[in-house]
Amino acid sequence: MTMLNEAAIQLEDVHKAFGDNQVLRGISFSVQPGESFALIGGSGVGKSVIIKSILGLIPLDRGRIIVNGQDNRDRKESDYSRIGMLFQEGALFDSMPVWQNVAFRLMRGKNRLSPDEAKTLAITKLKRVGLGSEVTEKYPSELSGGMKKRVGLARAIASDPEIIFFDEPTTGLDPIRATVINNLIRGIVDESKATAVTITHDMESVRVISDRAALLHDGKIVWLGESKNLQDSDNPYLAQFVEGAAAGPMDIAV
Amino acid sequence: MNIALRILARIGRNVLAICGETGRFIIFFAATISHLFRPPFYGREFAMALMSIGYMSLPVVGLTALFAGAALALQIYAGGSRLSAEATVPTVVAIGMVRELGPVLCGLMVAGRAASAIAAEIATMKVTEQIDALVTLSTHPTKFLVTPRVLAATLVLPILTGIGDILGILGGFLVGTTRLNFSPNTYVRTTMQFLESNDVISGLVKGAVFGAIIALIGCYSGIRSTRGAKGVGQATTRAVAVSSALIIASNYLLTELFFSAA
Repeated sequence: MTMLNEAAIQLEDVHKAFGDNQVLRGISFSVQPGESFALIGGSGVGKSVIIKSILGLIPLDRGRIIVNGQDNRDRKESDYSRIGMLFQEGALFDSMPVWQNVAFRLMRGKNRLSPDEAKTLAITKLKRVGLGSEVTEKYPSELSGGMKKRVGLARAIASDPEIIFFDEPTTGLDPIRATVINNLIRGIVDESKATAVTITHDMESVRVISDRAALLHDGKIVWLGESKNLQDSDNPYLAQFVEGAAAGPMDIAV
Repeated sequence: MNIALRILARIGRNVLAICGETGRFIIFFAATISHLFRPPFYGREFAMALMSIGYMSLPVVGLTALFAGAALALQIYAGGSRLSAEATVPTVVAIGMVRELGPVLCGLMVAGRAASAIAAEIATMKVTEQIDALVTLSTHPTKFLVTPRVLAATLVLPILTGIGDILGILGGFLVGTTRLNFSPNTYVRTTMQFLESNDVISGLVKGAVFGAIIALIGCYSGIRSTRGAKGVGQATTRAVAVSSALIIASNYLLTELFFSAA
């Protein structure tokens, strides 16, 4: 795996264990600026642990992660302004209406906007993800799963971040809504020129959203390549995962 | 031998767990204090905490204090009559309310209402990744969630205690004048004559300490909760149980501090 100095995200020999459970066993990869990268793998293989480690939410046992040239250990609160994150269930703040969720970061910090300006910008971002003004004053509990994802997406892109993370963006959605969300994400990534990292086990998401992908199994990367080669690869791990075969090199306990 | 070793190992594990938990709480407490003095400050969250911890607790604190004062008057009258000391009812009700019953009842009532609510809210936020979301939105969870609640509870509990004191004394007054044949003037005069400012101040200081305990334990239980609905339930129960026990224990220590020499 090539490590380029100008990588937007670089992981070097990352290890992480929770008690006796060694989740990550020396993960190394890099994501180039403007690239859309997908981490794929079965449930519980540590995809979310990697993304949370990159975000600095989980401390590493060993190795290092560099984001935009800065070691994660040196990251300050304000550095998060260059990062956006779409959480699996949206992670919207229950106590705030939709527009305040989207404008959360815009109304705080040194360069904060006035509530009116922030609301106008939030409405623009909501429109970008296909939500009309009728949802702006609603609370998250009044939204469907798909709408929550869209609001979460609007919040993730509200401050025009340089890097956007997508955690299982289509989980829990029907195929039609999943397609809409995939296309939406691809469109946003293309037009913003942001670096994107998506974790998913939905192969359609990988094909639509990502340029490159890595397959994670047993705490290691067992395949890394271009997403367009997903179907043609002779890697036995990838073949098993793409086909959804029960038999193969990946022994997955159900 | 094996059984003895197993018992010893179990005791050791529990001691280590208690030490670990105490250490984590001290770090959490220190972080909360340090965030109190560093910007940004979240005024909206502080105002919301004042409302939910203070204003929303007024009915339950008021009713509890009113009936506690009324019952206290009856008890003191019944007990005092054995010593021909019925006349002490107004004084003892007032001192008992402002020194002990007012702050302790107020603390326990707010612990039941607010500590559980704080723990449940923060634990749910943890389960649904809202706390992780705060971090990714350049917001420190301690500063945003904990500091406003601790500050609000510390400031509002003395006010609630003061209101509880007044209503408790009013409860005693109503019983004293309607059931125990005190004249209103005598009751008020006796109350004011023997009540000292130290009695009131000590009760209000207790209220502030209890407020800090309630919010700190509520927030800590929420943040330390494990995943899932069961974790949220456990956090809520632990917040009420631990904050109530600490209120009773710290009440004794504060009473020693204020009145042991008196």
